Order: sequence, then C-alpha cells, then structure tokens
Amino acid sequence: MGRTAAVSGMLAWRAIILVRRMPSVFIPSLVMPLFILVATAGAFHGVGALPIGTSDYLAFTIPFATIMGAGFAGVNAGTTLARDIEGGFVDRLISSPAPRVSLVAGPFTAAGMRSLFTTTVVLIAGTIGGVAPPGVLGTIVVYVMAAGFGVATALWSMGVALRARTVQSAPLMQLVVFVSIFTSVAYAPRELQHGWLRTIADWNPVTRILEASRATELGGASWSDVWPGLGAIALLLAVLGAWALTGLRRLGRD
Amino acid sequence: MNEAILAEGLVREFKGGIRAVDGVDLQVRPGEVYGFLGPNGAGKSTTVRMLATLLRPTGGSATVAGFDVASEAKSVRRSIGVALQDAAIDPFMTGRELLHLQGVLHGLSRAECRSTADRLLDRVGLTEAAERRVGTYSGGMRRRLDLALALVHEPVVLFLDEPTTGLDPTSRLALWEEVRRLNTEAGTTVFLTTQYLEEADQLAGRVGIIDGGRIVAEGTPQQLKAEVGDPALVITPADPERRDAAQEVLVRFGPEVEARPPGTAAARLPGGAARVAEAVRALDEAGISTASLDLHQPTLDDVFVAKTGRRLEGHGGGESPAAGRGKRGRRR
Repeated sequence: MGRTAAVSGMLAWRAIILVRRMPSVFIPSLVMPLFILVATAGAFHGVGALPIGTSDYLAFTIPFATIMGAGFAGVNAGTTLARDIEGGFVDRLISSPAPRVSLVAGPFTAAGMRSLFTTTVVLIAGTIGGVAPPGVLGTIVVYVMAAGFGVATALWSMGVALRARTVQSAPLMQLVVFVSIFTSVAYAPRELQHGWLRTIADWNPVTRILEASRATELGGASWSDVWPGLGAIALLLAVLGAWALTGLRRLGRD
Repeated sequence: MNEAILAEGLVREFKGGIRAVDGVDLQVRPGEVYGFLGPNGAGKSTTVRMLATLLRPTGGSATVAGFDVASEAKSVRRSIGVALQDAAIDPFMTGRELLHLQGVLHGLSRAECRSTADRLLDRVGLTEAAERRVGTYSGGMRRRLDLALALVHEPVVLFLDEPTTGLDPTSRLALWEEVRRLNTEAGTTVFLTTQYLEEADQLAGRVGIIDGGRIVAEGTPQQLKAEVGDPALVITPADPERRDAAQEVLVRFGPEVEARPPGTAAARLPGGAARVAEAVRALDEAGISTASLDLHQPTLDDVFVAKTGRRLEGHGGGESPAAGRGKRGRRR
C-alpha cells in the first residue's frame, strides 16, 4: 500500500509538472472554463428571468464552468497516458516492480488536483463578477463535485487510452465527456427541458453532480440536494474505475 | 542461479496468427554478454519484451535471473534493467527527475534516489546536463541516460534493445565502452539486441542469429565465422572484359564465391593471406591486371547469408562479401 502511494504520488507529481511545462495543454484547460463562465453568462443574461432558482445567470453558470475545467483535466490524463504508451514511456513503468495500479492512480490524483485548481480560478472569477462565495461547506461541495468529476473523466479517458494505445483516441475521450456535460443541466435546469433531452438529463449522472454543486452555489443546498451528487460520483468512480483497471490488465496481453 | 536467461520453445503469436517469435531456445550464462542479431522484424524486440515481462509468451517458457517470466513477473522485474529501442524517455522531464522517478519505481528512498542519480549521472557523463529537459539532449545523451535509468537498481540482467541505433560513431563507441565496463566491473549479464554486425562482434561473447522468429545460428563470433569457411579473395580486373578469365585463375585456389559485387572475380582461399601472393602471381602470369584486390575475412553478415540466404538489412544489401573489412591493395 505504501509503495502504491509513493509511486502514485510520484506519477501525480510528474503529471502536474508536465502540465506546467506544456502551455498548450495548460492554457486551454484554464481558459475554456473562464470563457464558458463569461460568454455563457453574458449571452444568456436574460435567462435569469426564467425559473432557474436565481436571477443571476453567472451564479447559475459557475458549477458548469468548474465541471468543464475538471473535464479538461480528466481528458488530459488520458491523452498523456496515450502519449506515454505510444512513446514507450509506459514500458519503463511496467517493466519495473512498481504496482501497476499506480499507472492509473497517479494521473487521476493529478486530474483531481488540477480540478481543484481550475475550480479555485472559476470561483475567484465568479467572486470578481459579483457572485458571493457559497460559504465554507458550500465551497467544499463545489470542490468535491469538481474533483470527483475530474477523477471520473480521468478514469474514462485512461480506459480509452489503455485500449486504443494511441493519441488519436483523444477526440473520443473528449466527445463522451463533453456530450455528457452538454446533455445534463449545464445550460438549463431539468424543469425547462422537454422530450428526449429531458429524459437524457434525468438519467445523466452529470446532472446530479451539477445540481448538487449548483444548489450549494446558489445558497440553498441541503443534504437532499448533495447526496445524489455524491452518489453519482461514487457510481461513476466504480464503473469507470473498473473500465480503467480492466484496460490496465490488458497491457502486455494483446 | 544456473542460467541468467533460459528460454525453451518461446513463442509469441499475435492476432491474425502472426508468429513473431516461433520457438526460441536460449541459454545465457551469468556475467555473459549475449548478442541477439537479426534484421528488422526478425523477432528480436518481441523476444526481449517477453523476457522483460512486457509481453506474455503464448507458448514455451522462460526464466530470467531464475524467475519465471509468466508466474514470477514481479521478481523478474526486480532483477532486470531494461533500455528499450528508441530510448523511451519523457522529453519534458530533466535527466535528474527521470532518475529520481526511476528510483521511486524501484522502491528507493528519497536519499537513495538522490545519491544514485548523482552517481549515475557522473558515470554516464551527464552531470552538467542533469537539470536540462531531455528534449534538448542529443541522441547519444539520451541513450546514455537510458542506460543510466536501467542501472538505477543495480540489476543482475540488463536488456539493451538496439542501444546504438541512430547514433553517430563516437556516441556508439562511448556506449560500447560503458557496456563493457558494466559487464567487467559489475559482472552484469547483458542481453543485447542489434542489427549491427560490428556491435555484436565487438561486445558479445556469444551471438544468436534470429530470422523469421527462429534462431538460425548460435555460438561465439569466431565459431560462427569459422563455420562459413575460408577467407575470400575478391579482385576487380582492370579490364572488365577479363573478369571470366580472372575467375578461371582464382578457382584454381579454392571454390568460387557466388555472392560478390558485379564486375569482380572471387574465390575462397584456403590458407588465407599466406596464399595471396601465389594467387596474384597466377593472375600476372595469365596477363590479368587488377584494379583492386581484397582479402575478405568472413563476417557475421556472411554467417547470416550462409544461414538464411539473405543479407542483413543495411549491410551491403546484395553487395560483396568484400564490402567491409580486409586487406586492400592496388596493382598495376
């Protein structure tokens, strides 16, 4: 266990410094959530008149932006792993006696940490835009939801990378993550959605994550708002964890 | 530990029924440098990947450092160092960071990682470049770092997969020197794959030649060359019209060599250099002037040709047995 933690920590550290040294990866993943925050809140300012639980669409958009930033961090974990597999760096890791689970645990830890960072930036931007911070407990919930989604998307993306073993699989990683966000309650609450979009939003785990984060962000959260979000994260981590680990087991077999 | 590496009927079949390795038997003794020679696609890297536990064999068995590669993979990984083809090194990390990472992968403490990194950087001459990102390193520096990374935990068996491919001659010589030093000073067993004949000749105590996933010849370089036969005398007549006449003279001394460059005459010369003067006199007496003369000692490439009927890629490709080394002369 101690070895797993030590190696995972080392690989998480590596993932963080690589992000810092690759501005082409770091800048978009930071700028996009901010862009979404500003552009969406600006474009849909009038939507605040609709029954969305707040008159301030910027406050409504903050959880969406934090989840988007977490999604970028998660996808980056997958693309980095795909690059490492393609370039042979993974061979170095798996030809050592280090626990193989670290290969997944390190990058997803880094994805969680990166999600916390982008969430902080988005919350600061929201505060500058006039949205009051959601209090200590509310802030913790927003962070947990973002980090949980970041880890889940990292597991998804790494599972893809471990099967496809090429950077060319990156669009698939992104597609599923962004479709899952956009078919949730990213732009509008479920009450304003109809037909098949509403059905997808009802079943989409991202909906629960966003609703938990949004309820706390808008200041009226209770345990009944938060637990479905925690449940959705637990479900995603269980399913996508199995997805990533089965991919890991395939290394060296095919 | 009786054998550092022991493989019996090792097979790796990929999807679609492609047998990259087709029943390889190997016995490598502790402290030996074993050269695994073959052209691209012969099965060298697949064999190394199986022995290094990166790929599961689909048939046969193998032990490395006394541990089974399939059922005791973790023990194998503790005992081996691996420097794979193309030096798979993250270009965004520094040399020191990579050594530290490698140390953690092998369970070294922080202090051990630091001292090991210092020692190995010094050993491979990269101390000054230690804080630079690997992306800025030359090919030779990358290979040296790759070697250092493989040595972090002082392995008993070291796998080097085409370690000098793409290197300039100076870097190649430096790496050979390091491998020799490692073998003689630390007694490390080295399993070296290469497509360079000279590399196998220079470094390996024994050589296995692999082609089409099977070992077609094995022995010391001297034994293998001796199997090919006597040196070949290859001459280029000054007058190309006299080639057939020159060939008639040379076959009086030994059997004709058929694989030779166009426009030359060649024959095996039992007795080697001692009989060159005699052959030259015979050519003189027949009135044949020579533009060039070459006594070609058998090489591992000749061994490869003798065993497979083909030349190794990048080593003459249909050219003469005289294309490489030998005594060259020029007369009249």
